[in-house]
Amino acid sequence: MLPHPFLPWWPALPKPAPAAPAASLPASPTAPLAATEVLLAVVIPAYGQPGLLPEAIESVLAQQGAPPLAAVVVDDGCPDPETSRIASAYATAHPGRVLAVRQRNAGLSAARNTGIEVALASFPACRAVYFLDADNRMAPHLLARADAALLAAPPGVGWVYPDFDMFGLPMNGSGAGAYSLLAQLVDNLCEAGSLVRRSLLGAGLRFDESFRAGFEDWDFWLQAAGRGFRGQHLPHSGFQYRRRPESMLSEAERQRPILAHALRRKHARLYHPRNLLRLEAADMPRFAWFRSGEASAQLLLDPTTPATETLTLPQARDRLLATAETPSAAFFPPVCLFAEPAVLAFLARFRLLPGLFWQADLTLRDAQFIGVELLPGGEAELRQELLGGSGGLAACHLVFARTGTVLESIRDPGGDWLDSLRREAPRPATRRLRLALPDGERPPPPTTLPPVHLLAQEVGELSRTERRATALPRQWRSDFRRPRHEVVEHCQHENGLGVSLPLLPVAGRRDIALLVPVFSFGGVEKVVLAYAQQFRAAGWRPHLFVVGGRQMALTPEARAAFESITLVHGLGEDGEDWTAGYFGGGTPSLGNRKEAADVLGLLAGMHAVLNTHSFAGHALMARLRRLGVRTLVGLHLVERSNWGQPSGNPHHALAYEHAYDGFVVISQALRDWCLGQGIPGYKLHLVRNAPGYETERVAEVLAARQERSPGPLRVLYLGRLDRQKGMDRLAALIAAHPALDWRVVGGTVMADTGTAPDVGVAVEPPVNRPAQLDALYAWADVVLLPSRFEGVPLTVLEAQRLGCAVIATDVGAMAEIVSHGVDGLLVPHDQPEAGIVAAFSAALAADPALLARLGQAAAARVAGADWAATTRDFLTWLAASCPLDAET
Amino acid sequence: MTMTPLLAPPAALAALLSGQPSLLVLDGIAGAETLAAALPMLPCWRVQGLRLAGFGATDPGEAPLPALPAGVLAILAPSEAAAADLMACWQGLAPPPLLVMGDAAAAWAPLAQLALAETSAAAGRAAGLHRALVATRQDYEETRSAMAVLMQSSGFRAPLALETALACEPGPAVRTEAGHLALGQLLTLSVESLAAVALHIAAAEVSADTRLRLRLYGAESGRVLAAWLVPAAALTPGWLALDLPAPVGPVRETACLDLVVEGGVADMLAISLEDAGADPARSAHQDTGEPAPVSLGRALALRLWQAPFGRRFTMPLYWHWEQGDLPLAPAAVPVAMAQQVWPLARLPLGGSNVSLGAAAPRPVLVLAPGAEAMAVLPWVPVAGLDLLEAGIALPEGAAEGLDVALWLQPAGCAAETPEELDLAAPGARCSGWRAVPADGGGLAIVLRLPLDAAPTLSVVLVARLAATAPAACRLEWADLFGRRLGRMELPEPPAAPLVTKPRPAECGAVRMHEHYHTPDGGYRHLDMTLEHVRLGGTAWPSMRFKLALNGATPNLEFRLRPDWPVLFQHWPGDVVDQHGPVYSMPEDRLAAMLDGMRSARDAQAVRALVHLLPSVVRGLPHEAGDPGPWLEAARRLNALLNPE
Repeated sequence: MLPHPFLPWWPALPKPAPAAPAASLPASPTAPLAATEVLLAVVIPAYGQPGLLPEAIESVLAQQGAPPLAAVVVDDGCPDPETSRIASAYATAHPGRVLAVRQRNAGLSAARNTGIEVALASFPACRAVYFLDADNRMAPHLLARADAALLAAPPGVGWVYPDFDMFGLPMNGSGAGAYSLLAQLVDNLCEAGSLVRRSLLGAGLRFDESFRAGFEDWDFWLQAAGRGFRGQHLPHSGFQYRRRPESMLSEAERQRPILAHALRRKHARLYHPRNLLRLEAADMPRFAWFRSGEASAQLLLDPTTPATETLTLPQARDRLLATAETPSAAFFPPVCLFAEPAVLAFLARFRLLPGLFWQADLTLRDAQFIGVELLPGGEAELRQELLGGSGGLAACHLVFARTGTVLESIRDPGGDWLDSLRREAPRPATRRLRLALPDGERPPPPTTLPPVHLLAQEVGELSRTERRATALPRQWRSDFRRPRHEVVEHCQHENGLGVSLPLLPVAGRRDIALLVPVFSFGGVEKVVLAYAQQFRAAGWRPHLFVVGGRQMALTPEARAAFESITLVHGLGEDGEDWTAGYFGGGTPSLGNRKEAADVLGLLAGMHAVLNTHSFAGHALMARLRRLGVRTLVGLHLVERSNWGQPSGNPHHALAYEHAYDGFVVISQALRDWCLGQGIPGYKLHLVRNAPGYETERVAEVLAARQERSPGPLRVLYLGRLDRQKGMDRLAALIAAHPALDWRVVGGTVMADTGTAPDVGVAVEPPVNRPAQLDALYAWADVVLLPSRFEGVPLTVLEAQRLGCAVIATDVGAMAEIVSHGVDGLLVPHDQPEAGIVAAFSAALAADPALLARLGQAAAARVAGADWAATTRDFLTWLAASCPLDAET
Repeated sequence: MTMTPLLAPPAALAALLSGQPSLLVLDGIAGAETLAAALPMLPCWRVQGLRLAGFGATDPGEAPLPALPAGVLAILAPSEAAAADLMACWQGLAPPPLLVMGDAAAAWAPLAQLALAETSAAAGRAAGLHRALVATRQDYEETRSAMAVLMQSSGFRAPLALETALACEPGPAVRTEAGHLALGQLLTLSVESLAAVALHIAAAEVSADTRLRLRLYGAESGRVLAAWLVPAAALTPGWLALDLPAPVGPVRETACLDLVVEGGVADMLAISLEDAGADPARSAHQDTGEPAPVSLGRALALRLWQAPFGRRFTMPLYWHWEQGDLPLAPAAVPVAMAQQVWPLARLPLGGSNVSLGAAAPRPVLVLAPGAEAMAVLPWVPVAGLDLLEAGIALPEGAAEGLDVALWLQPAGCAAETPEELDLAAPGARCSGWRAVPADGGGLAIVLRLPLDAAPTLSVVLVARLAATAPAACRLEWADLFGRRLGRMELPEPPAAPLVTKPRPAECGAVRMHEHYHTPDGGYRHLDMTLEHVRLGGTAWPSMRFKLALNGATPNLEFRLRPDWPVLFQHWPGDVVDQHGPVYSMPEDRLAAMLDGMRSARDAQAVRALVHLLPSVVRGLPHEAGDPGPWLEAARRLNALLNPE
């Protein structure tokens, strides 16, 4: 907003010092002026305009009320000697008030730069420089107003800029509104005819002489902004721009895409998605949160950080109506939220807010109102459902709406359209996002107006405010600038991004996205969780994105490890394109869908992305990498299809090898496989697994084993009950050894049937809590893994830690964690199925004392393994690859 | 941007880059200093290698020259080889002529040739410009002719109906304080096509001298596009519509209004604001004398109308012709008087005009103890200004017992003594005596200009030194500058008025409505209206009253009726008869009732009336009957208030 109303009839001049009258008088505008007296300089580059140059100079000499000033006319090697003669004639007629210099033709930027150098060198007291092109002119009060505005502005304001008042081809374009760097990124908001503070020029800022086709002024302001300076609009300045049908400006506009691309490349740091998020939070926060129970609205981008601005409700209404009337000059967030503060605080505990706000923003593309309904759900499970149009929003804990929809609502004469939101069949297009929260958690009961009522109340107040507003319009000039509420979207679109995750980067911290297709209780998820814990310990902010999941296991450990958690579904993330398969394998079709931009928007603010098994994620990596995000893929095992063919994530990743900066593998075997597939060695990072959770019971459990009473061997199977895990083999072994004490714990995750197979004993439900796992491992003598393929199962490491003997098929990297006959038994897998079962059977019949010794050896082997040690080198490399923003 | 290889003392950069004609003289030429000394109007720069410095300068300096000196008439060098490095600086540009010589005396002839060539070329260019000017003038005259024909043509067509451009309905009002009000309003509309404006007056209790000035101007250029000076008689509650002579042409600037009301201290005028709130950028602002204008939180209640340019011609009422098209000075910024004002100063009682350096002369007055002095600036342009500020300096330091006063008089003032200055002259004002502080720091006197001031006035400074002053003193009228209304320092009220004799009550026309008497003659009255009544600093547009005689007892009667002008701010009576509220002031209670009035203005109104009664009665028409009893009644009432 404007710091104060700058009335042209009453400029905010600093109060003159009560000096003796004789000393306070300005010098006569015709008297010679000493160089030391000059406080303002006007640089006039002149080329090919001898007929118009005198008018520009005269308009400088006719300035009223300004401090002592001088014009520096720079003849840029104009082929018409008249230009030089005119400049010299004025210099002679107005000694000290007009300087005339000449240089070889070097272009507009170079001429201005020469003028800057001459002004700074010649006028030691000069405090600001104005740039006036030779074919333009100034009204007599321009410099007095500009100087007063600059003097009154804080030091960070580096320049004041005018409206675009054009004559010749008349057009009056407004420059009104608070300066916004974000807006400057998409439009050339500031005419070169601006008054620039000396401190900005003294910092070395100059016009880029390589921009000879135009937009050199746009580049200049971006340079200034990059150094922390900001502009300030000067209303009613009196700057007059001669506009002709063909000019340098019209030619520049014709080449706009090329020149804009050059600007984006030169100022890549400003246009970077993370910087855009920072600017968005500061200049144009996306959400206006009308807080039930409080007479205020908070403007914010990231719901987990303090609001950018808190407005009283009348202020918010005024701002909103101003934006409706002058969308290019004023700004109000494009999305309104109606909710109680306690509800958001409740959701923050689950780390769901950024993802939820992103989902709402995204869904508002097709809906006018979004309601979020919070329900108690199952144990440690988060479930998210996007429901269609039917059903009112009366029970919703949060209501989102596009600001444009809110404005349309105030013109609904009867109000029934809005009131119908409370009914079962609302008339507006609505969607409901239903969140079932883990462990039966319930949101706090409402204490004030339900959100949908608050919405209706606000719409009523807005309508009244609009009716009470002055009849005076806000401005009469036209506005060529992009509406401010579209600026962020446009900037992100230019980056190839859709709706971005509303997450404010934190100085000195890095963000990493961990992409997974599911987040249940499997080993891969445990590894991802362990990585997240290590990232957090190293100062990173890890974020979990479950791409394609409507539910996930939301444990206390996950809530503690991840900074934010987002479920992404319904965007075509499961689609596979077989027409462009890589070596016959399908590729994710998301890459060719427009929704890819929105998923990219989720991730582009990250320093790094680690894709662990997200098929859709592969299609995004090349684009993320181009945006400066470090891209990594986590490989755990080479799977096999139902027909025994090699398949799975590593094969998919091969198709996108060029898009990844690094491959994180968990075993030497997998590393060798990658090398064999042509992945460069420098990209490979071996990060061995460690037990999936921490425990303090190791010593106690190992000691208890020494006291173990003789009895039947206790055999434990713990894990997914999927075919990959060899459930048929397990059933056969249970049948063959009925005297053994069997326990089977787990559930189906990947199975086609969805129901647990019959293994001959009662299957206990999956357990996830460390205490439950400790109890199982402490009970077992043997942990059995008859899998058809594996990576490096955490179950093995966890079982070994507590002294269990592991009997497993020799698949994957099993041999890297189990030494046959030393700390476990491995069953060769390259033999007929009957041989495999027979070998397991023989192992189960082994001497219990031998099995106990193997268990002890395994415990000793795993005793030194922990995640901090295994991830250390990788984290060091990654941190070095992702410089902090301040260092870029 | 690359610097040139040339070096020069930093202090000489501006002069070197000024672009004025100059000579560069390389070392090795005999008599170069003599040449430089002989050409004071043609700067000569000594060149050593690539170092430039003035002749006689000791510091060679090290600052690189950011650009080549323009306007170099010639380079003087002992040989071409010696000048090679310097000439190379002009590579790609036309270099200055190189004159090779061993002795500077040889330079005169070629320099004269160069000067002649330049003069000849300049004459040629001047002739070319004259040709271009002729073509432009022909073009311009053709355009004017075409415009005149178009105007006449469009002017005879039926005028188009005005189109409403803005309608801000009246709500609360802002009032004058001590008779003064200054408001500004940015209209956020283009001035183009504006044809009429209407203000809403909420209440008016003003004297005949009250004026309202309204100006419409373009915010960007500060150019006045319309100005009205509205007299008191037109300041009545309701809409005050003001026409422009013609709709504003294609001026694409932001419309602004400034409004000033100036009346007597007891006058009150209330201007309506809009009935809706507005943000500061669209609110009216009031000058309250504070450092920043005060936002009133509402726009002015206004109506604006538009019409196409050239389709409406009006003879506007209250149009202030002298303000139209005036470029307003920047608000609140001191605007120096043109230097030509000062040499015209007259010092009829002695003193001198003293000039220092290149500055225009300033009047210096010399006063002996007990003496008076006077300086007259007979022609001072004040159009568009609201304030004048004179700066008084004491070149010889403190002076005790020194008073000064600033007067405004009609332009061309011929007064020879202070006694000839006339406060009743059009546009006249006086600051009253101001004591010059004894600290020697001088004094600034601020004088508000009348709203209807002529564009040029005389400004007179009168000084007097007390007879008890220990010594004579000199004072200099150092400055005079104007300001447009803005964040102004309001002038102090006169500390010791020069004119101490109170002006008698005055009135304009007297109208008698009725001479009534009962058949028996026991009661009779004269129903009269006095127009433009004034007493002291207070005035009333009209006063209606009845002078009654109940037997021989005089009585004044006032009524509160729609057909009677409102005289009292606070109606003093509580009696109602069959014709409505009536207030009677019989002779025996007149003084006590005056003392009991709540408003000083109301009491002053009755005093003015009583003052005027004898003269009013003397001029009564014969319809009033025998004037004797009326005259007696008037004298008796007058004697009550003026016992002497």
